[in-house]
Amino acid sequence: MTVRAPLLTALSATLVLASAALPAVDKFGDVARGKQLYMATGCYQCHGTRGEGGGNAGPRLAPTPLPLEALKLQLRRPRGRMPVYTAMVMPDKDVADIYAYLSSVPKGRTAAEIPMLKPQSTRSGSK
Amino acid sequence: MAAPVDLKEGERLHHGRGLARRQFLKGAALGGVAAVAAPATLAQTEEAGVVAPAASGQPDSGTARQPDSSTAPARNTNEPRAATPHPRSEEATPRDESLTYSSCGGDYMVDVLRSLGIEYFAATPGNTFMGIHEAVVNYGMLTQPNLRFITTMHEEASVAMAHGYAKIAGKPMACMMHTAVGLQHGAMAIYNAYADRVPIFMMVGASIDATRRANAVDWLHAATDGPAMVRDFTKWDDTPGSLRHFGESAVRAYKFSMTPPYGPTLLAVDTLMQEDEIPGGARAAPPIPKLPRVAPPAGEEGAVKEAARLLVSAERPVIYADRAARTPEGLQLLVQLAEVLQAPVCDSNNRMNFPWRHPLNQSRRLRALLGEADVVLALEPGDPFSLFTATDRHGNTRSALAAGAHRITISSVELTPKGNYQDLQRFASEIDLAMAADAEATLPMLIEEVKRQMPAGRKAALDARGRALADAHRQEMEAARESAADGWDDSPISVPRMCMEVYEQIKGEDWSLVSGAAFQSHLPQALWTADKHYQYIGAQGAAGIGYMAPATLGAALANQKHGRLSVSIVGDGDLMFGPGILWSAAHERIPLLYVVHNNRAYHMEIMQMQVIANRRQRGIDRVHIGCRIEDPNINYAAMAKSMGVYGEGPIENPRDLGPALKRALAVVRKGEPALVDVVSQGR
Repeated sequence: MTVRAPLLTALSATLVLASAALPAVDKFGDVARGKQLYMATGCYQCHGTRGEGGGNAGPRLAPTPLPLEALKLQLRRPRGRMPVYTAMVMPDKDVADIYAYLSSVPKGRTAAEIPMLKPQSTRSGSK
Repeated sequence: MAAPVDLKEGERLHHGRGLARRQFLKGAALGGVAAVAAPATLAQTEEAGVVAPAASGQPDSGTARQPDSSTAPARNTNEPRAATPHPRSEEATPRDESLTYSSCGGDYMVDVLRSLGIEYFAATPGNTFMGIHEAVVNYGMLTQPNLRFITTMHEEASVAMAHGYAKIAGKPMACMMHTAVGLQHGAMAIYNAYADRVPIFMMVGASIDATRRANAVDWLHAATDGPAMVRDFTKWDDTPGSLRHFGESAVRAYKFSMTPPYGPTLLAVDTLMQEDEIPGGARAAPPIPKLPRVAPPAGEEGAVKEAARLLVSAERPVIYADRAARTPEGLQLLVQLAEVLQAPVCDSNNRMNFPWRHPLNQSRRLRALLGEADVVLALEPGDPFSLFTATDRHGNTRSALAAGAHRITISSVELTPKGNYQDLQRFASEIDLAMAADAEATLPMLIEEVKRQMPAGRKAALDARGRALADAHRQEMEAARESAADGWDDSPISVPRMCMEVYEQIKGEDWSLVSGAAFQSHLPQALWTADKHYQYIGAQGAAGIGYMAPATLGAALANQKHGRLSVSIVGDGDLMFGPGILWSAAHERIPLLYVVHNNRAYHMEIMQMQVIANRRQRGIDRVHIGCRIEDPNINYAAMAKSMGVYGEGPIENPRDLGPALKRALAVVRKGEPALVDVVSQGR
């Protein structure tokens, strides 16, 4: 798949905080290439730059993604508003690399570890 | 809602140019004297801020404007008149260029408009309505200091400001445009307001007498039926032929716009009628018609009883509220109905219909609840077909409700249907009971009927239903918090992080989120606490982009007099439709925090392009072309600063966002607008 260099340059610049500790290759595929593909093929538009989810636009993909086969099925025969990704558009190798990237995303903080998301912080004091 | 000011026959303003200013000064200095002289008048006018109502005018015959002074009634010789009208040719009746008028049509129009309680006039200036413009600034504003002329840089901004203002103020703002080029600019914003069922009082300057058009531009800006171009999406329009006709049609326009379903109305006002002297002088000004108290249409009694019967007997009722709560009372009534039934309420988020943290608020569970419901009550549903229907990606449809479920709608829009524009959505064919009525006006009767019909033995079952719903609400809230934690420390900044950083700064104050939240996946509704009608007002109406920045400024203007903290989360693409509104915000000193959700794209379109390109199996690595807003990136903070608005950003590190918001809000609290540019995830 052709990757547009200017686009990738711009997008990768936004991933400074995300890319620090990614292994180069894991058991599924090439993590670095997977990250590039994830951005270039538009996954991030609906699912966030680290697969964190995009609200109503797309569910969370990472960390701990669905099994690879389930992800592939959703790409090939999507449910909901997800665009279809045939093997012509996204070969199995690319899917595997993207999966490797999603699998490599470390767990972030939970709501309980973020003061702003604790129940008492979501209460309003408005008059 | 503020009551319109009733300027009675003897209370309307009458003046020569000098007289008006003298009376203003006198009124300011001797307000106590005026109070003794006319206590009833002051009681009425205090609300509208009228300083010095003056001497009487007499009703005229109501005949049309008479531009030729040679045929005008005899003048009061005490009124100044410096010049003789210019001689006229046989081919034309040119503009009356006399130097001094005792009073002009525009003054009368201002009197009419403020009798309706209109306080603000938004416009990008134009010569076809200079007669009113001049009367507002040199007559209205000098005699009623709370009148304001809001300068905009696009007619779409004028209309959108009025749109947002009305949803907070509960009454229309006036806005003015050229007939041709102005109305063409304003059209999309009018359609938004129409589809959002919002009242706006619009006027266009109309050059009706072709022989009095001064030049080629006057011809280019004229149309024989200008309002026709927006008639499909205005509630009513008229082209008055005399000042008396203007007065009657202005009151009628206001009345129609404020009768549910609310909507924008339009008067095409003859340019020269605005400019010329009142026929017969100020003392012959027509009377100002009385605006009645407008009673909204309530549901028919038998239908209300039947709806109550179905709701009371239901095991799994669902209440769906779209544009249901027109006023704060509407929200309280819906709470009453839900609590007496212990029924879940799903809010479309087109209004603040129901408190966000009320245990019966189940908005995020709409589809699941519909699938189990045996009775659904839909209040002012904008799209009942989609509500009651499940549609798959191939367009196949099936009922979203179980077999045998009953569907009830209460909709004021059915009272005034129009064709052409398709805002009515697809016909919903399985509705059992459709009340053509205003939902809010029907709720008191429905609540009483539900109480009357409710068997005493149902209490335990209702309590159990309520507890289950409260538990579901808590679970939804916890899930929303957990979901918000995903990507919390990412850059670009996650949308939940952006929303929560904003909330962290405002939650202790009397805040009002004046922007829609659909592009933020309604995260404020999921994570914030809100229970006031003004804390959320929905969005565009017709999904016309370019609404958010100006409409939220209009809403902030309405909030200003209440001292509320207004916040607008505006998309970068939306803002760039009309960034000149930032100058208006600074110029008018309207306190508002703009938070730019800057995903550097027309993001929705990128997602849609992905679907199309992949269906054609051509790859999506080029779908950003035409949709991205980068190369170069826009520096929104610098743009804001260039127009006098405090600017922060671009903020890319989430740790920087809280302090930036804090600094910006300090400016807003001082009464000025501010903008924070947040480089964000797409959604």
